Amino acid sequence: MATNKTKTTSLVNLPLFALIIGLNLLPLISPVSAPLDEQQAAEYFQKNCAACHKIGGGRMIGPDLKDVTSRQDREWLIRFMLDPQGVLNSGDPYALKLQKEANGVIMYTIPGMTREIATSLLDYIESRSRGEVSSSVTDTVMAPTIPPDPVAGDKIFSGLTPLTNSAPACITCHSGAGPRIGGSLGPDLSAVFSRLNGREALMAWLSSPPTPTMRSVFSQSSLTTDEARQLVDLFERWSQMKQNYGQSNFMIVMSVLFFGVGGVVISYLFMAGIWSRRFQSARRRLINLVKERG
Amino acid sequence: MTGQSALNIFLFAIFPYLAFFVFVFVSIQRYLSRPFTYSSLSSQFLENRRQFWGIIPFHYGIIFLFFGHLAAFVVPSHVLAWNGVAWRLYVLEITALIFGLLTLIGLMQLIFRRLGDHKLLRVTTPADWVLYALLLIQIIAGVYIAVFYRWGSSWFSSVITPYLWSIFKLNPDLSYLSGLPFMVKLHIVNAFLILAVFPFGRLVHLLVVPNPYLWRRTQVVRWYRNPRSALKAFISDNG
Repeated sequence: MATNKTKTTSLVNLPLFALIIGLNLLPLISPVSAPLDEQQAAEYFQKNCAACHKIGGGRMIGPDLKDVTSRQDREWLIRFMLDPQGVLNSGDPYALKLQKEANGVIMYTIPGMTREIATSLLDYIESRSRGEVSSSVTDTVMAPTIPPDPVAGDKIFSGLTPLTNSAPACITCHSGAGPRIGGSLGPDLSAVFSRLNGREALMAWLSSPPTPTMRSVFSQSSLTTDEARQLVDLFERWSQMKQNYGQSNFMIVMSVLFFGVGGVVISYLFMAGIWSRRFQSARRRLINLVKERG
Repeated sequence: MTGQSALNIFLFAIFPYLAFFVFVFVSIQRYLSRPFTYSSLSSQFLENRRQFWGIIPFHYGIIFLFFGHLAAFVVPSHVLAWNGVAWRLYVLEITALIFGLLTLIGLMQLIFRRLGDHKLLRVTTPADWVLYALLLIQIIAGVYIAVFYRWGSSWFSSVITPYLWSIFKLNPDLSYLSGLPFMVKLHIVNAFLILAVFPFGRLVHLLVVPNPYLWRRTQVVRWYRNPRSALKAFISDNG
């Protein structure tokens, strides 16, 4: 009786449950495919591309995109924007050349990128290429009069100074050249200053991090301009340091394992100690009694 | 698709709901239709010595890890604040690894114990073996992550927690997961798989843990046995 009732209730709720889930999944499986107008393309570029590219004014991490459509076929560019890793994996010589010029940094697939958006972006880049040299988002924060503050950057990196918008500290996922042992989910940042092509490129990167994990975390809680600048100060200091406090990842892994296994041994000794008399009293006698009787 | 493959959408946006639905529905259905099967079917009376060295580290380990994951899910900002000081981060991570290793060693001991005893083999069901396999995968992946993708307690709070909350809010956001390593994704999917098989095997004992034992009044237990042998035992114990 009770079983039948449960089954009936569940069957009634099943379509409703599926409908709720289905409606919530719709944004995931229905891509935005409409082309962007110039204003939308400008905003899209600022949000998704400006961390690594400028349109005129020289290269940052990625190449300067001024007149990019005259340097490479549009269809190739669209294919690359849709799946940069796929084009690289195919061994395309032009893509490999771009990767080499970017110190090995690979362009990330922008979530939601479609052929229509890629076409709109190329139209926007073509339009901007005809105009004056663009000003980078970072131009305003590159003021040389502000003294560098790598100490403040180190506190931000290690989490001693919480970030204004509650983003996790860098040490959560990254190690660096400082004395503290950082995380290893993301890459080591000891040489990030040179790898990402210097101050301006790093500022742009930190203002809108493009990697998939950082993008999702920092889109909700971005760094302030001061925080980004202090971190760049720290990375620049690391690039100038003769002594690198950072340890090899292998040694850190071995140390972690050493303490882990050591803790296990101590735990077993502890368990053996506190439960050493567990078979005594009534239980021990019962067991012995059974043994004696065979 | 918004940068997500169909497989990713199934595994991380659809499967969690299927798993949760199966967990809730079958757990209730089993409790109503077969309440006396709500047990882990203890094998303690068949073999106790080897079991002790498996079951104790396994349970202490997994209970610590369960509440550790729960804390990072419920109060991520507090976990991040704790980890803001380097030594506290190291202590938490090493402690978690120790409990992870205890869980792993304990589970392997329990598996080998069952494999090496014909009486235990006879009372072990296919559902038990499936569960052991899933738990083994889960714990190996977890320990691997703890060792090779430091510091999990921090990035779980920053990356996994927002994803899990998006699932709870019926608006899955997979962007948090797209850059994560295979082992982390395996750990997540396998967790949902364990949730899905939960009501079919011995794991249901988690839902009927005799918590009142912790605060109920003490009970007087009287042994039903030969009073002469009891008297002898008492005399030998007390001189």
